[in-house]
This record gives sequence, C-alpha cells and structure tokens, in this order.
Amino acid sequence: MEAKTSPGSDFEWIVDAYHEKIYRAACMLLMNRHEAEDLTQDVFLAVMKSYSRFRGDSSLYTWLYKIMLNLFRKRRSKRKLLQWSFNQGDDRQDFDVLFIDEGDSPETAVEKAERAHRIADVLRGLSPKHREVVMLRFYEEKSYREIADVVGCSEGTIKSRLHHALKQAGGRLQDLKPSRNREQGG
Amino acid sequence: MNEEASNMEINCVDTSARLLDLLDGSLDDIEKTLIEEHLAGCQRCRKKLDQMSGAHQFLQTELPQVTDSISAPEFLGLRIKHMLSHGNDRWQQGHRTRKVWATAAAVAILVTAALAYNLIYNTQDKPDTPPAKSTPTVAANKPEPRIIVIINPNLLKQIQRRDTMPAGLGEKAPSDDDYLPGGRLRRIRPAPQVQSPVLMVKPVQFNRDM
Repeated sequence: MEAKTSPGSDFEWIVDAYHEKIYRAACMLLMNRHEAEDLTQDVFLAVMKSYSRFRGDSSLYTWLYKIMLNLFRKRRSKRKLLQWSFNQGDDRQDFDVLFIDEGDSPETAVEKAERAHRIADVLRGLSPKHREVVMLRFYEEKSYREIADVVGCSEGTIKSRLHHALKQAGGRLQDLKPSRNREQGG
Repeated sequence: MNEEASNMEINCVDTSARLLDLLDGSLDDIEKTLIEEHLAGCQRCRKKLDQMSGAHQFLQTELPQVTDSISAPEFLGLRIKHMLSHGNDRWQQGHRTRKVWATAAAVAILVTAALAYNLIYNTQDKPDTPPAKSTPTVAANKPEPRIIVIINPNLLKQIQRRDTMPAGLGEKAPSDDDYLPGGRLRRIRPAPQVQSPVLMVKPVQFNRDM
C-alpha cells in the first residue's frame, strides 16, 4: 500500500470533481482563459490551506465558488481588470479559442463562435459585480437567497443588481441585432 | 380579482421594481394584473420590459450552453494535483515563514517563562536587607536556581508540521456516509488539537562546584 506522503494526494477527488466547473465559471467571469487557469489553481490552493475551516454549512461546490469569487475580486482589484479586459484586443481572440473544438465542422464552428461572441459581448458590457450575479442566476441556477449567501449581500441588493444587469444586457443585445431586424422594427 | 385590481393603481417606479419578479413568474395574480394594466398604457415601461425580457431569455438559454461548451485544458487537473502534492513555491515559502515564526514564538514564550520564574524565585529567595558587601567567594559556593524545561519532542514536531498538514483532511476521500442530507459534506475529521510541547517546568538547584 502506498503511503500518503503529502496532503495534496487527499485532494485529488476534489480536483477531479470540480476543477472543470470552477474553470468554466472563472472563464466567464474573467473572460480570459489564462487568467482563468491561474484562478482555478489558486482556488484549489486556497481550498487546501483552509479545508479545516469548511464546516459543511453549504455544499462543497458552493464553498469552492465562494472562494473563487473572493479570489476573483482580489485579482480584479489588484490588476484593475475592467480596464484591462476592455482594452486588450487580444483577449477577445484568446477567449474565442475556448469554444473551438477540433472535431467541429466549419458550419458548427462558425455557429458556436457567433454564439460565444454574443455572450462575450453582453458579459463584457457588465460590471464584474453584475457578471457574478448573472452567472449565479442563469448558469448555476441559484435562488436569490442562495446568491445572496454566496455573494455576501442582501437579497434586495442581488435583485437590484440583476435588474440593472438585465437592462444593460438588453440594451447591448439590441445594439448587436443585425441591421435587417432594425429595418423591420423601424 | 380584477375588481380588486381595478381599485388600485400602480406607477412606473412600482412597475419597474416588479419587472424582474414578472419575468421570474413570482408575482401573484393581483400584482400581475396591475402590472399588465400599467404596461398596456405605458410605452416607456413596456420598452424596459422588452429589453429585460430579451436579455432574460437570451441569458437563460445561451449562457448555460456556451459555458458548458468550454473544456478545461487537458492537463489543468493534473497540474493542480501535482501542485497540491508537491507543493507550490509560494505556498512552500509561506509555510517556511510560518514555521520559523511558530518556532520563534514557542522559543520566546519558553524564554520569557523561564526568566519570569527566575525573577520570582530570586525575589522570594533573597532577604529584604541588602547585602552590605559583596562576597564573591561565598556566592560562588551558594546553590544557584536553574530551571529545567522538559519538552515532548513529538508534540514540538506536531507544531512545526501543523501548517503543512491541512487539519480536517482524512487519509481517504470521503465516502457516501460522509454526506449529510441535502448533499452537504460532513466534516471528515476534527482538526487536531495541538497541545503544548512543554511537559514540565521544574526549578532545581545546582551548585557551581558540580
């Protein structure tokens, strides 16, 4: 029987079970795959260091998500993510690479890329706080109470943020509509 | 229901505050009727609802699909596991620093305790009358108070190892029995209680001649 020589070996099942989900969420929050990789690693490093503080009040994934949001905010405040992600043109291409699958036909690849572009455009137009709430509501499908618990504010604040996020996203979507739709509308 | 609703009016601010609930379908029938009546006569609110509704629908359908189509890099999981197993530089540095501080703090506490005890012992031992003249030959033969500190080496090692071994982690991954109802994870093992490594502090007398 192999002796356990390091604490890291006990975490393998957590990494296997959750690294993909955390990475996806990190990608959508950061809109940059390299940053998302770093953030995912940092999350598991933080988990390893603070696992003893996990009391089981929430599911393990919720706890991981909370850690990720905290690290995301730290990263954001350190590097002024907003300016950085809006101004870097290369980030857009870097992000699009995520959705390209070698097995896709050219038509599927184009369709996927268009979808990803639209989502990315909408999310880029949102502030990080609004992005957090949108991801938790529409991807994680959490209730307002659960979102409030994860984000660490009241349900009213969450609803207000989501309201503003939807208004902004709606405006952005209207701008993105093809010109033929605008002609029909006008 | 409509009778009750017709007696009430709702303005743009109230409508705006309830648009999200309307999209979520969480309004009761009366509120829904009131909002719909207001929307029928207010172009501005209708426009706002259209905007929000479009975004709501778009995000509800597209966001999960697009997000789920992201695949993590092939070796990300392996890299993380490797990092956790073999230690990350930053983490190791942090641990070294904490270990040094923990050891230094333990030593400082011991030294302080020894000095404090020594001071108290000397104060009690010496008479209030000050010695008129120093007699070095007599003092050299007089037994001098010392302190023996007996330390359990295993517990000292445990303190030093404390930061490298995350408390609460078992030797195995949790089994089905470790999950509480609702999918929550039971704490696998309570955090180890670190006891003081000092077993005994005992004043003894040594003669300098020894």
